Amino acid sequence: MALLTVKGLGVTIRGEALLRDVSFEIASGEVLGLAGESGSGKSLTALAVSRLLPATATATGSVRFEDQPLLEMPEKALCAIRGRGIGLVFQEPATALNPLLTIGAQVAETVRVHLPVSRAEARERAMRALGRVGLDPSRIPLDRYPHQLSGGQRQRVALALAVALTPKLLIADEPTTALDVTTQAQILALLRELAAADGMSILLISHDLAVVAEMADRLAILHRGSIVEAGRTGSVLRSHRHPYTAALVRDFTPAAFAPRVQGPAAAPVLEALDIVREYPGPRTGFLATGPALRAVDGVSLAIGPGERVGLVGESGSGKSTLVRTLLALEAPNSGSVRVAGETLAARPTVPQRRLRRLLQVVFQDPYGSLNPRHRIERIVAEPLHLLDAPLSRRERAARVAAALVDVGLEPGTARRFPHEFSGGQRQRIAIARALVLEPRLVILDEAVSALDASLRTQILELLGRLSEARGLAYLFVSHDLGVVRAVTDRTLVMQAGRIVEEGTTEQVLLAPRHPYTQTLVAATPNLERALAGRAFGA
Amino acid sequence: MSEAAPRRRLDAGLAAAAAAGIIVVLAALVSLTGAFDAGLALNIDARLAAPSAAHWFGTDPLGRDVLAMIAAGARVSLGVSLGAVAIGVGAGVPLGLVAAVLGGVGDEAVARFNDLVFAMPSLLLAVLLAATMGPGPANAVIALGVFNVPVFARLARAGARTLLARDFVLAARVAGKGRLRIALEHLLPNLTGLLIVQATIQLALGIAAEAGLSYVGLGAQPPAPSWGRMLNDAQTLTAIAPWLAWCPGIALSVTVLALSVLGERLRDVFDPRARR
Repeated sequence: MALLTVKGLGVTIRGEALLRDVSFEIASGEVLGLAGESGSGKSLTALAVSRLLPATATATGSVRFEDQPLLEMPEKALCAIRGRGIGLVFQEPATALNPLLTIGAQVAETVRVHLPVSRAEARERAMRALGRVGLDPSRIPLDRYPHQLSGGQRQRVALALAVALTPKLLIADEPTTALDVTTQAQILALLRELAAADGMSILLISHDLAVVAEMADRLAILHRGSIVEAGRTGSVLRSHRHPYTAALVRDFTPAAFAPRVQGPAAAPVLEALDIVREYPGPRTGFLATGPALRAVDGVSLAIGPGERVGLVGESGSGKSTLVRTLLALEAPNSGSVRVAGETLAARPTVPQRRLRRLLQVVFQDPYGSLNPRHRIERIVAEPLHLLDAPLSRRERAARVAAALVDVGLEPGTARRFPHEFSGGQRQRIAIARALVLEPRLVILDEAVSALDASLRTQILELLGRLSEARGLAYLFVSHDLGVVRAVTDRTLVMQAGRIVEEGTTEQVLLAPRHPYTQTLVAATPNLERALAGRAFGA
Repeated sequence: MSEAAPRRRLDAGLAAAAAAGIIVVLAALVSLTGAFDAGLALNIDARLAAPSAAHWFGTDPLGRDVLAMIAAGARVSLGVSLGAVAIGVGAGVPLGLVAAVLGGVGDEAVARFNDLVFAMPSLLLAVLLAATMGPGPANAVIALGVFNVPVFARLARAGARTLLARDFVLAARVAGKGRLRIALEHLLPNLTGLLIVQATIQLALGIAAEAGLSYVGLGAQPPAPSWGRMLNDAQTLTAIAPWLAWCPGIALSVTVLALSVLGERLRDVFDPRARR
């Protein structure tokens, strides 16, 4: 008999059916992957199964855990099952923990809610649970607060909370999405270990096909609130009978751009010379501060006309600081940035405008990068400020319309506001803004990281086309090695403020020489590798 | 069940808006049409009349109609409070915005100045200011307005600082826009909701404070009616003419409450996180 049986599960919020007829089973000790794009209903399924839906939602159908009907159960009985029988881990470790309680107290509290044990025994169990998730109490004492831990350590605490009572089922909703790849690899390995030791089943929800391919025994693909395909993970991902699964798998691995033939070395568009950027250290006393933090530590780079360069590294490696310095949003402590051979100054003075026209940027979050109070025409036209003479109203409108057409939007959209557009369309608008001045180099700071795979494919195709058509150079900053591999010719690897490896993308990512790059490449989940590791039909 | 909660909140907001609206209309009627002017004339024969069809809220010891006095008082209260808020917004918002975008020593100075003013008992100092400058509505506006400046300066500065880290501001800087221009084009439009909410709340506080000043004789001077002085005048007569205290008291409470609830509702309207 299955541990969890979901039959005909539907969820409606304000009359809108967001989940329709979802059915699946999870056997004891089995890992079921649930994959799909954002908005497909993955998280809603997790919330419905654990009955944590918002009050405005109504669930229909049946959810049976160990043959008990969860949907009809009184809240009190349900509380006994949540935590004890079913453990939960969510995406954001920062918000899953109570910032005012020590990690030991949080885990001990969970134990005492469910078991009639003494304070001392609960603490003992908390210590064991934290030890099991790799937070050795001798190194990380129980009286630490969440803010004193790193993101990966916090996710380990969340996991300790979930598995402290050795539940039979763990529901993990994007448990590693907010983490760096090396941390992600550790957490996934830990999940596998815990599942094997306790015979625990896992409902693993992820948008990342490589992660589910590595972890899941069986896989269900969710699309617009319905399961379109389910089966053994290997066969679902290899044969993808449903067209949606096929599209999902195709988009997951970005198509590589045609390699660009490098002409004779031309003068670089953008050059960084030995850049150092320090931040004041944390306050250690009333007037004393600790040693300065060196976010960027002597970085030099050069990008030629039309060159496509990748910059990879984990969070905290100094990528973002470097980008801000290159854009003259921050002044370096030492070193200089040169555009077309001339030094870029921090102040946007009139003679500097000519340099700044050559350099534009697209940020990661399409929701944060457009002023919600401005119309699209005003947003896209903003860089035109850098022109020496102001354009007439008609010229301006023509430039904006041309930029919008370039990114595949109707010129008529210019009169609308950002909130009327989807995430992918907004990112197109941000790209239109970057292109309206016809720059020679665009810095793409995680520009496709927030997008679903299908949108990502479209935006990457767009960028490839534009860079071909205009000989546009770009610096593609990303944590996603798969995308960098597809769309760049040369790659820089950054760690702790330094560039530790540099070379053609193929050489850096396929035959890395620096140990850090090797770790990074090995830790990155890889769909092909994960599928190759499975027997056919598994 | 799912729809009951939002509807009830909406009703409270509507009621508050309606109450505030009635008060404003009442005040406007007085100043524009003079509809209540007759009621403000002395009429010793009708003094201390209990509420009746002729005098809904009764009359005072000089025979003036209390309803007419309440309405006239509303104009003074709103006028003084609006003036004080205007001073606060007019001086505080530019100060906070400029401090936020320029940063450095100036920013620090503005922040510490705000802290300093916040540390003072504002109503007491307003009484002191009004007393030294001499009583009257114009000086009451200044005395109350001064203490609204740091409220708006602090709010604008804090709001601007969070916006400065947003990508759209960075994009504007990449587009070569200067700091003051960014403050005007990007920061201010995104702060208006926040500022309107705060202005509503300060308006309510200002009305209460104006009543306080009038109560001690530093607000509007006789014969101009004012809620605070009506309360003061009623003190000795509460046993024989309780309506003299009740009417301005209720008018004051309802106005302050209505504006406060309105402020809360506006905050929900402008806060995108509370919208769903």
